[in-house]
Amino acid sequence: MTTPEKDELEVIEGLLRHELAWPALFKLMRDPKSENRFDLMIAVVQKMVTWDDPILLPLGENLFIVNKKGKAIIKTRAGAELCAWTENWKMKCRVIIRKKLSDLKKVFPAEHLTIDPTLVELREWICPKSGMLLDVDCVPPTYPVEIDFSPDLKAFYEDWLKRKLPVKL
Amino acid sequence: MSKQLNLLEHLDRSEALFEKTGHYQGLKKLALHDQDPLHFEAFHSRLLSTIISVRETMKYIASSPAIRDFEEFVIGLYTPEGDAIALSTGIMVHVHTLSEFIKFMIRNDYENDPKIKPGDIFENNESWAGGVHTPDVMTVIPVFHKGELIAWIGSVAHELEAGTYEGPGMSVFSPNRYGEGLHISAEKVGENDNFRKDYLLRLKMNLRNSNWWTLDDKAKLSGCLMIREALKGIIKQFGFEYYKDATKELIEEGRRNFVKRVKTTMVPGTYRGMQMPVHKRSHIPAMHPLAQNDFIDLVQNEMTITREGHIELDFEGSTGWSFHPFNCAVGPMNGGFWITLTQLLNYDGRVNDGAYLAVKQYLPEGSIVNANYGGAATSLAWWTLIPIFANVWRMMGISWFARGFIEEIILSTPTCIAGVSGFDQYGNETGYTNFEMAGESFGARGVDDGLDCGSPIWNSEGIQGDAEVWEMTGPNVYLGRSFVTDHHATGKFRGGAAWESLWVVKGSRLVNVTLTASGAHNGGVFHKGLFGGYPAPGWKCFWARGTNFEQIVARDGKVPSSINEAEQMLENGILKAEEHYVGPLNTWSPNLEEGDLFGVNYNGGQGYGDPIERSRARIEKDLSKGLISAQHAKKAYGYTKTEAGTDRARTKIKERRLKESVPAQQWWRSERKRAANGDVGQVVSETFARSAKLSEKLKDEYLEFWNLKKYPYTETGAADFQATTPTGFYFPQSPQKPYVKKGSKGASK
Repeated sequence: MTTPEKDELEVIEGLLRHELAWPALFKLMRDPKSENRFDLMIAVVQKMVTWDDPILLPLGENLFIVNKKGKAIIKTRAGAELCAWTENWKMKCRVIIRKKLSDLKKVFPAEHLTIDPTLVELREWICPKSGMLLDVDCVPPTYPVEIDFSPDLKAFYEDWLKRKLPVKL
Repeated sequence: MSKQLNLLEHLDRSEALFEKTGHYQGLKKLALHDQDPLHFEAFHSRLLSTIISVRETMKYIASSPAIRDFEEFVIGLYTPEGDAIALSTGIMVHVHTLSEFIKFMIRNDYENDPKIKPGDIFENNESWAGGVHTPDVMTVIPVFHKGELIAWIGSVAHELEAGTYEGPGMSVFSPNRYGEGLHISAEKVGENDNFRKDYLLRLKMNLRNSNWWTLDDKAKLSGCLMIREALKGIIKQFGFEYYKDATKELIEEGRRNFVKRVKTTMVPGTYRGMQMPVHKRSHIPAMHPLAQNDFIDLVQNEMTITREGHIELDFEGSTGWSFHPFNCAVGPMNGGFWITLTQLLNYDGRVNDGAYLAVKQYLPEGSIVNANYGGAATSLAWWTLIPIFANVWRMMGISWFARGFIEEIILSTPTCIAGVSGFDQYGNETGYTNFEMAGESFGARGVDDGLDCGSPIWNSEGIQGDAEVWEMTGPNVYLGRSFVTDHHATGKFRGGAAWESLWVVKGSRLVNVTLTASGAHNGGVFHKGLFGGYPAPGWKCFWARGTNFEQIVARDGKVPSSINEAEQMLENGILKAEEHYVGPLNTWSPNLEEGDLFGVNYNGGQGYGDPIERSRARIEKDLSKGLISAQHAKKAYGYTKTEAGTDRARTKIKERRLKESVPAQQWWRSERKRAANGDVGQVVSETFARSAKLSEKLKDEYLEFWNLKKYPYTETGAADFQATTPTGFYFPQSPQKPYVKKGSKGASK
């Protein structure tokens, strides 16, 4: 891993904090995609969380795979340690199921609401520590709970980033 | 083309070389590129600028508003084997569908019969020959140099009218291909650079608005001929051998760049998405008996980014094809994949078939994504493609997020349409799809809200167009075209705001409308948002027959300007109608006439991130524009007039979530009883049964997740029969990936 340039780091910090002005953001969109973006992003996000476990891969705005004493686990931004990185993290969260019209009206404007809860239910996956929303699924009732992304950490670190994976899988 | 090999042999040789080496045409080195990169770039620029400028000229020849005003066309250059070299801007869906059409002709031995000669014109809108659906009409010509076929030039335009049963270009209610309009099944339709008279007469007799199709055909042909002439100059400048070799290198370079981009910006692994477009037709009077049902097309979609940087889509577990026009075949699925690749990964100049060599789709035979019934309709394949590939955009967003490229994340949007049929204000028979939907609002982005009134997934250059053009096109006048307050998908970044149009029938005594949407209608949800973002609240359409509209105008009264306003005026009796419908069901109106009303909502795509992380500045901007009410801003975002008050409201929302929620395991224990008994509505129950009929995947996952032994869903609600796949000709096929149950012996392979 190389040490990121200070100005590069500032740009990516601005990007991730959503503080970049449009010309800078537009430039970033148009520029060739930088090969050190991952390292810059990790450096910034690591500063934005309150815990020290090294982030291996972000899974969402408030969800990460981290290195916890040599093991890869899934942890929320607020610090809830949910499960091993290969497990179904949603089943370690709290959940609100919206399966009636009255449930849906709590989050949607009634005059526009046409979702039929006999066909689709909303499942809101919630961080058990902070109450932050981690994901919202829209599925037919009884559809199994699935996670959206199972990364190939080994291929990513060893083949693509060309570095040793810092955890034992 | 070498005298020794015919086209089929060249195609076989090209595919064998790729299979053997992993490089297009076996090109392990890009000799011309490496020798003089600037000369190589100049060559590519010359090709690309020629093609793009020709496309601009074509607009002035075309007739239909679809081309002239709404950019629904594309033109490109292909190798003798049918591989895309360079494409104009426009509907990128057809990078590879044109390729499949050319390969269809080669593999079905068109070289011998009907023969491929200089000046020939070939046309296709047939999904068995690589097309997407009947309105997308492809025109292709061969290019010869000293007696050798050296290239193909192809163009596609979307026709607003295609001779469908209902009238608009895309059929909503046809049970099979026999109602989806005029098929041009990979045919020779012209010679000596002219369309044949019998072909033009066929258009005249089989279409309601044949002038659109005919003049668009002439625009496409003119474009092809202009590029053919320009190629002579390019070959003269660069040399014939350079042209032949450099075009191959461009494609191999495209493949390499694609893999490099994937490896630079994404993360390998498996991504999952599920779409469930709901289709209801039992409420439509006089539906065909084969089609009088309500159902969900469940599409299970796994995207794998491999260690090698390739992208694979697998649809195992999806429900089967059925008697409706929403089926997909290999052609439509290739089209859907291409609009994803060209807009999200391959957008910086080298759009060609190189990327196709680094992607793969596994489309289970007989499923909704690979209908194998010869009579399957694909007229509205987009009603399946749009949710599928919008969800692929979402999955790619997860990958860019993980790698730190959040500026690349974009969510797409459902497409909603109003189709008009009957007799127009000029007394002529008419039928057309109102393509203002090409200005639909985006879903949210990773760095911003979805664009309000942007473009749809299927045309990155799509535009809403002028209302006046549509008023000239058909017998209707706009009463309103406006954003809908409180109608967007919420999130840290919200989906683009919904907008809607309301029309009054003008100048016609006989017109009817079809109103429908992709995945968001009939009570369905388009697909989920990202990282806690919500979907939009739903879709709505409207028609009213036998109104007192003219009396309201006569007394200078206020006329409705939106669907909700019309609904309120009907409720309070100011607006009267003998009958009307307002709601989320796709609809075929009764015959309407002067003074009757219809309208459609175009809802935007999904939200991104937890809504309570939305900045107050963004909410205040929406409040000032009237896109959100203070009441909804409080409910959805915890917004109050002060920062401290907003913080307190958001803290309360989080506390309420924790209080109202239960541990997932607790929910699982209570829900398991329901899952064991299959205690769901009939439509959902039949959907699960239809999926299990075609594949064990969903069934196995269901039993494993709920820890059950018996799958409760057995009744499909569909007739038990087998359909036969067409025989006697080559058509594009998909590789199959047999399902292997987790934990079985085959699973470790």
